[in-house]
Amino acid sequence: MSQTGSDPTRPRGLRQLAACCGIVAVIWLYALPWWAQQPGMAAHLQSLEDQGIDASAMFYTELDALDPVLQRLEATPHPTAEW
Amino acid sequence: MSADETDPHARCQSTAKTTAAPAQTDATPKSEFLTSEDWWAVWCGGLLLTVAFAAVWLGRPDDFAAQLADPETKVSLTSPLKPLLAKPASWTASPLHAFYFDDGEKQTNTVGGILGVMLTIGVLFAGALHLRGHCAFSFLKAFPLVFLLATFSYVLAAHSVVKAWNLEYALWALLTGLIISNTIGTPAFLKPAALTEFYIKTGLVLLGAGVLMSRLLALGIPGIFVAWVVTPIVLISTYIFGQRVLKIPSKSLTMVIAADMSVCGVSAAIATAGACRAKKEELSLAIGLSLSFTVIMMVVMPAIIRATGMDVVLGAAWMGGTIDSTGAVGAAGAALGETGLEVATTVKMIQNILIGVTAFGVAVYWATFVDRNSDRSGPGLIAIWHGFPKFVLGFAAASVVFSILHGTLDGGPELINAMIKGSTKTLRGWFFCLAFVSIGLQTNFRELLPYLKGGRPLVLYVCGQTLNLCLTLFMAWLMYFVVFRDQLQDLKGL
Repeated sequence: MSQTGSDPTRPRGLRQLAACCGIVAVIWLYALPWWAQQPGMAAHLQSLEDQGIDASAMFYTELDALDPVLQRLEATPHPTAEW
Repeated sequence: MSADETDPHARCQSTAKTTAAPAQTDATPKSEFLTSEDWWAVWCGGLLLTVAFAAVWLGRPDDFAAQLADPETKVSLTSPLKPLLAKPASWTASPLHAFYFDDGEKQTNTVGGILGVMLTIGVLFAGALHLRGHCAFSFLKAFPLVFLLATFSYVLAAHSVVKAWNLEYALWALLTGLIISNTIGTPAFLKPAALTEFYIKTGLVLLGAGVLMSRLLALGIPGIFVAWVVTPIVLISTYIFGQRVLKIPSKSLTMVIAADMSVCGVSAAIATAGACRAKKEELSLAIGLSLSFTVIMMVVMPAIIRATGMDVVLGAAWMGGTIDSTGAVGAAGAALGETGLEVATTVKMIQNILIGVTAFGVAVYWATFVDRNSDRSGPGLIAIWHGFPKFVLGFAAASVVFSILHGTLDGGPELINAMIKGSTKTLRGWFFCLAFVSIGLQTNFRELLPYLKGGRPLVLYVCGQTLNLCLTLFMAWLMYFVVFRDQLQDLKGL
């Protein structure tokens, strides 16, 4: 879908792109920050942060909340550790 | 990803440095090692893993052995590469905080790290393309802009509310690319850096280093049964149901949906799509389905568990085995308390590790039974070898090597954790983000419509997830309340 300078659909495409950018700007610069400040959401976000939970983590290595669990499970003395 | 996606833009077309296309069809095994994208993903991923591990190994403190020997000392390692590699940080009030934030208590500066990632991937891929006989110059011209789009996607994904709803960067990267390609169209000069498959394959080799089989036994037998018995049953049943009952035309779409629903969401979808060479539209659709249902399940399941008075351990294991995304399992588990968080995330972590076996198994099955078409002559193992996605070998090798290092080295867990958290995790995320931006840049909305026809993918997901919910609940009850009942009190005493 490459474009050339003579493409007649380009002005319409630019308008559509500008509209999409406008929607993104309104949501991310206004709506989401406002929502994050509401008491219920703010408490939820703080709770997640305190527990080290990134709800968008894709893999367990991205979840800090698992670190103490892994450290406890894997904690074994290394009496013969030598380098 | 689909093998029929040739990449004509990877060679210099409009510059003086025109290079002949590598001969793919009659390549000898030796030249295949030097020209094929699969093998170069292995080399690039291997190089990054080697450097990442070497940095941690050489940077360990002189008294590391003494620290390990002292049970009173809490050993903590950090990769020296960590300050050089970063992604946009979580933000709430202003997107600028994704790059720089300082309120006296908390300080964040990710600009240098983001530039470090751009430089690392840019130089690595330019070198790889040059050595493969492609044009590195066209790639280098386009890469900064594609990387900028990936950064933009990461900033969208890094808003704290977006993160809390498990709307992962893959979704925003895909949308960013789609908006450009479906409005003004993807400029031709960007296409040499839209290397979807190369990014995904290299990212998957890095992911292999986190698939640590040596961790399994430490995570507990009941969780292993919940994750490793139910998941393969659901995966295979859903695939057969999609093919035999729903008669979904694309086998790869059926497999990717079955894997992302039964294993662990987006990461499983990416790995399986690579293993069965699914089309980019199929991967996009599977991820869209997975993220949509994950958002619903992470809210509804804790509510159901609390409303029915279900035991916390049972409910947490149920969620860990059924909610697709790892992060969403953490959020849902936390809603049940500390025990819920630990049990749910442990079961999910075991499922995460299953991703390696799943990808390898799917790759073997595809090469053996699905992908053996008429143009691939030769008997048995040779035909399978030709059809096998070689980067999966890199993924499996990384898993085996780092599992061995993790399990046998003194301080193995500390060294491997420092390597993953300080470098490879960040790089892998960028590779996947770049891949999804590239998919968006190469996709027309209309190409997605045929896959939605009749709603069969949705039906497949709902039916498969229903089976998953029933079987996981039964297995969790069987393991935690019947077979390993003695461990229940230990878990509740956390």
